[in-house]
Amino acid sequence: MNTIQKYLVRIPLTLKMITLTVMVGVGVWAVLDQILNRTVTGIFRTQLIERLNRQAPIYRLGFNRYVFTHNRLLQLLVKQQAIINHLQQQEGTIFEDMDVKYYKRPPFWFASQSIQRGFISPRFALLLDGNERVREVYLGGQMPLPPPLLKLPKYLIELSTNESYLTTIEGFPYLVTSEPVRATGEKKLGTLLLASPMDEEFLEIALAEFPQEIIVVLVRSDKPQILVSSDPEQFPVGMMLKHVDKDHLISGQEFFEWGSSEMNFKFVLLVSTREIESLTAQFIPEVRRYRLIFALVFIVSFALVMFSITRRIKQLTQHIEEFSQKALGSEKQKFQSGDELFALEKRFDRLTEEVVSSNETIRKEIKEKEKSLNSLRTAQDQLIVQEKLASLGTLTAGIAHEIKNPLNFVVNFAEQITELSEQLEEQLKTINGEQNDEELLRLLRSLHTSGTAVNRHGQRADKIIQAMLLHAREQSGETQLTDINALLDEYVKLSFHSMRATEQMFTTTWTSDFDDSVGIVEVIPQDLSRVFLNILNNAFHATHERSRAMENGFKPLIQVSTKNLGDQIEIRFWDNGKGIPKENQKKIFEPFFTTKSAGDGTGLGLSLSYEIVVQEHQGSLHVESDEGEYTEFIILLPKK
Amino acid sequence: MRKIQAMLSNGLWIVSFFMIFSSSAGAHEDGLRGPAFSDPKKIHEMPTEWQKRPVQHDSSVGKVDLSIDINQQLYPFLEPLVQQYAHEKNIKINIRESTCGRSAGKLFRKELDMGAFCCPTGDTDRLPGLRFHTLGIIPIALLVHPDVALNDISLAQARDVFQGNISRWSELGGKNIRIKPIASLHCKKRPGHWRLLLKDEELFTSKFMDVGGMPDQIALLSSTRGAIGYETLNTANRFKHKGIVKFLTIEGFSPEDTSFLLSAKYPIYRVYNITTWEGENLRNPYAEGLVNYLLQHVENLADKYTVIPPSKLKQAGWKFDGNELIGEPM
Repeated sequence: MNTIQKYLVRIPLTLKMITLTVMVGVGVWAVLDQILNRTVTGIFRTQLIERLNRQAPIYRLGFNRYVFTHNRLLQLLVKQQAIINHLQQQEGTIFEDMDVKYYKRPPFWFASQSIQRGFISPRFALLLDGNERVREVYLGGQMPLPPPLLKLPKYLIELSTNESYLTTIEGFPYLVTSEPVRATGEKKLGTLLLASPMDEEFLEIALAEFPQEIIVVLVRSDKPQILVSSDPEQFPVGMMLKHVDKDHLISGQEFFEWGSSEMNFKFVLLVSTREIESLTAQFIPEVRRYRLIFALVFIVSFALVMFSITRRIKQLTQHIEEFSQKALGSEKQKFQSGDELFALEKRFDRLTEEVVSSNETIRKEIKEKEKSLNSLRTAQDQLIVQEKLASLGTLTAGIAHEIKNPLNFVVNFAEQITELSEQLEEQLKTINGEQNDEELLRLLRSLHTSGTAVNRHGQRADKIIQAMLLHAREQSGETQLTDINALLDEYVKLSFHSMRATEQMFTTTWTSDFDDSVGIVEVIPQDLSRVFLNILNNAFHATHERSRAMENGFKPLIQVSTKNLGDQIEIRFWDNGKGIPKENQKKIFEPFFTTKSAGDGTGLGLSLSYEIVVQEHQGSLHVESDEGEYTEFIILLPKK
Repeated sequence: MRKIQAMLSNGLWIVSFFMIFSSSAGAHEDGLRGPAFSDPKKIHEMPTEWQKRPVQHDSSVGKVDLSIDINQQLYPFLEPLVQQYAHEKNIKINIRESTCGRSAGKLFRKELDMGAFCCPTGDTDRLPGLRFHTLGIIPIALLVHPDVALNDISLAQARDVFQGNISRWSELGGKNIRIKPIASLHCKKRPGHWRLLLKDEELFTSKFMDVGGMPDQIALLSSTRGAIGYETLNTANRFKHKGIVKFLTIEGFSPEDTSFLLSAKYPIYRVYNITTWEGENLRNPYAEGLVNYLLQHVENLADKYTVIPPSKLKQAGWKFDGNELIGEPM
């Protein structure tokens, strides 16, 4: 978390959100203001254009009517008797161009000022005689008569008759209208012709009834150039329409159809956008005011909502804290002020950690309890086994003790039989000399042999019983000078016969290689015999198992050897049984480790052996094995 | 001899006059119908100097092979064909949307190679060396405000309406709304078109509103209750953005069905003409080629623009002088 974040989390959420809302609001306000401005301007602009489009035909009709009025006025004037009489009087008179009369006030053959005000105000009114020569001219303004008007071509007079004609005179557009003056009998006496330059004044008079805020320009159709303008100061004649500034809207660019004209033009309306600016200037502040009120209401409402939310967040954090303390046993922590959401987030993170930790603890406890339970079960099994063994030991000791007495009789009497048979043979030899009955002698010798055998086997049975008694004894014995080779030989045989007696098809053979120089060693024989018996039982068991599993070619074998190493003696037990897996080699001396099925082994044999060799005799016991090949236990015992 | 020639000449004039005006008046004779065509033999007198003058384009046109002004009515119809011709011939043609009056004015000044008119040729249009070629005729429909309940009107009733003899639609079986005639009395120097309704502008009621432009006329017709006017359906359709109007059938004959006009049952129509120059210093082979091109292609486009092409007119007995339509069928 960087410095800014650290600082930020100290600020309450409500304050932060209100600040953010105000900041965003200001930004949105600015953007909306721009958009609104554009939209409002666009709407006003559209409305203005629509208004212009609606007004354009009205302006055009007004203009059209003014043009038509030229014809109407002429049609009235040419029917006046005064003008007919005047032209009739002129008929046949000699006339030179220099004789053209000019009037600055309306002549009697033309409409008076008051009538002109009701109709039109032509710039020039020309009275032409029957030969279409200009005789008299009324100047309706200060402008002098353009010379071409004095020599109007015949076709122009014809085309301008009955409908106005738009032509160009000295580079300016002129509206020309003519009407023949006829006397009774349709004789054409002359022509009354009106000519007006289509300029600012023309437009002003034509559109006098219309609002002046709309500027009218007539634009050439073939190229968008202003021909006539009602406001030549802003939009002078000759200006290209595309150069009309952005402060003016253009509309009503309709093709203006004229009855007869040499040129064609568009009737264009221009209106200043200042009206839009004015409307926008009125409208926008109002909108802003309402928006401000709305924003304030919104911010207050938002603050209240935020306050309510943060209070709920605080409550939630507090609930979590309580839950944590009560359910998970967490220590009470100081409530973090500032950003409530951040505090909740942190508290929630801590809760997660606490839950995970608690879960881990519970899991460990369960595991330990399971382990204890297993240990108890194992111990229980061991106790049962030990109890069984103890019972077996007691039983064995009892049986051995009971057998030992009769066995002593057997041995003693066998010995006596042997001795007696020897004495009897001597007596017979003394009595009969060389003539002893051969058959009797054979019987005596046979008796002697049998007695000897009974004695030998009896002794052997006695040794076994002694060993059984020794093994069954629970208490550790004291050190005695012991013939290791003899002890070893005795227990090899005991183990061998024990296995052969219990296992069918037992084919394991054993060999021994005893070093005679080993001699007599001071050991605790009953404990060491347990070691020998454990190792040998395992070896016979392993070789037998492998023998059962393998084909006939396998020869199970155990080799037992001793070796004098000077101050130590070495005892090796080698077998070609199934071997010990590498991973198990380090575990075999651990208590209760066994690979045998339940009930077959206690897992205590080798651990007990290890304890006897290493702790009681300060020797060493280790194993070498190759799984599937062999196993060899090596015992090193100090001679003293 | 001269007298004989003069008599023959006068006789021909009389026969021609009789043929033209008797045919045009035949179908709708009530004394109010104006002439449908002018006399093709009556050429406007012009000074010799003028006659010798070649065509000289307006300086604003620049250097082009042909300069043409086409009437508004014909422009949408002809402009693509002219452009196509220019492309095919690889020539430069200046083409401008215009009016009959403007074409006439520019032809007077010999600034155009070709002009185009939406009306039959007028007396003042027949300039020396100028030849007219009719591309077809098109019905003029009586257009009314969409609220006008009537769908059909007789020609006599229509004339009464425009004369002001009938001033309310209720007199014709419609609503009790005042009739407001709104139209354009344009091309006053030419026969035909509105003159087929009423021969003289003086016959139109003083309450008639004369509107200068077609768009304004459509706009006013569509926005003025009780309004009635006249224009082609093509024009009404072209300016429908100004407003929607409806048309009336005349005595049961629809302006949509050109067969009624072809058989002269439908009474009001426009004549589409284009012009070329003939004679020394005036003839332009591209213009002649374009005329032939247009006459050829107008046959294909006729149905689309509800125009009756010259071939059909000739078949139906309409009278031609060269390429120019000069009379209705007998």
